[in-house]
Amino acid sequence: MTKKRGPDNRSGKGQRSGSGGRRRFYLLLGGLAVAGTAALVVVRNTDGETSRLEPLSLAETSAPASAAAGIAIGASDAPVTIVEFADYQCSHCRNFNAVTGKAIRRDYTGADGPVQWINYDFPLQQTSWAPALAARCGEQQGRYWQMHDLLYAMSDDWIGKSNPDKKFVELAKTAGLDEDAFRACLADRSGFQDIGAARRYGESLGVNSTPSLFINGQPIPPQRDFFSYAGLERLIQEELAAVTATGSD
Amino acid sequence: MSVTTRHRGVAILALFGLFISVYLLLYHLGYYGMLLCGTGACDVVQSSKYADFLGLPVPGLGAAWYLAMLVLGLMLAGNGVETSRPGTLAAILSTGGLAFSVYLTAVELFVLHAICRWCVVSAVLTIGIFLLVGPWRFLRRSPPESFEGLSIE
Repeated sequence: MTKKRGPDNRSGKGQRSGSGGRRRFYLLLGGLAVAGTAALVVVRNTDGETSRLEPLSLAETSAPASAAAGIAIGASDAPVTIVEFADYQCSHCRNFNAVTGKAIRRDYTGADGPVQWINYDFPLQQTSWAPALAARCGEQQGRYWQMHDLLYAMSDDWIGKSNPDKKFVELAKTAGLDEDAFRACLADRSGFQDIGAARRYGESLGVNSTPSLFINGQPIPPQRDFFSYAGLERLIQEELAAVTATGSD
Repeated sequence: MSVTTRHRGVAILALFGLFISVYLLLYHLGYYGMLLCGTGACDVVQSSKYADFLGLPVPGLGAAWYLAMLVLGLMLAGNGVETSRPGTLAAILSTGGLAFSVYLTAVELFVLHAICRWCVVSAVLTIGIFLLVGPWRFLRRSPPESFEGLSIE
């Protein structure tokens, strides 16, 4: 004889307790679902209209990969060439520029300096295209590096803000740019093609993160200490020594 | 901990994971301009070539996996029989999800040298789901819990 002592035989109190627990569980699950959906909508609304320069994606540019899309400083016949792929919204790029990049360019890329530094835009996010264009509009007036450094230094003022174009214009004025010409350059948007060409060039070299650096054509692995001034300076000295040794052979 | 309680836990964790995956998927599709990531390197991770797996966006795969675990969690919390077919599927999926999560975390640590906080949260959720599902329990092939109240006299 089989005697059933399972859940069905539990007291009425137990059944009420089980059904109450189930109700609480579904209420909790439903509440979480509503809260999660609301969070997605709220984030979307605060994120929206980040720029009047509509965010772009690589697919919206047609320019093929081009090494000519970089912007250089230093002698073209310098024995050491450093290539950087960077994104203005990347915090590591900002820190690298503040601590190392800016100082190395100052100390090594003079008229007789041993280094030529070439910057390529590698926008990782859609909203990274607009600051890259702002820097290139600085280039039109011969002030790319001033805009470049200002965009990084003041990035807390425009990253994630609605309508950062206004801030870009303020930075352009600080960098000594003609405001009307700068505004016209932003509105023209043709610089996006060069940014797309730079990004595709980076992809052709295997770049998938920022900042990515190459020295005399060789990628510098992240394990090498290129983030510090001393670390990158050591790599430059190694390259100079190698070039000198090759020349004396 | 009863089968019902464990699978309710699975459903709750899966719901959290589903929202994280949907958020990352919407970013991947361009619906969001930037990710809320604090000081992490979400942009590096989400824009890398590892953000796609076999041509499919990883956040999309994550959303599908969490949705499946949510449905299975609800089914198992309802019937309390984890040796049923949904129980088998949950055991297989939770193991596969854990393995994929280990792979993605290894890519972040050793290939990209960048950590996305959302991915870390997702990895923790995956571990939690795996522990709650407990595939080893399934492997022991213990009798269904609904039979435990039966006795022969």
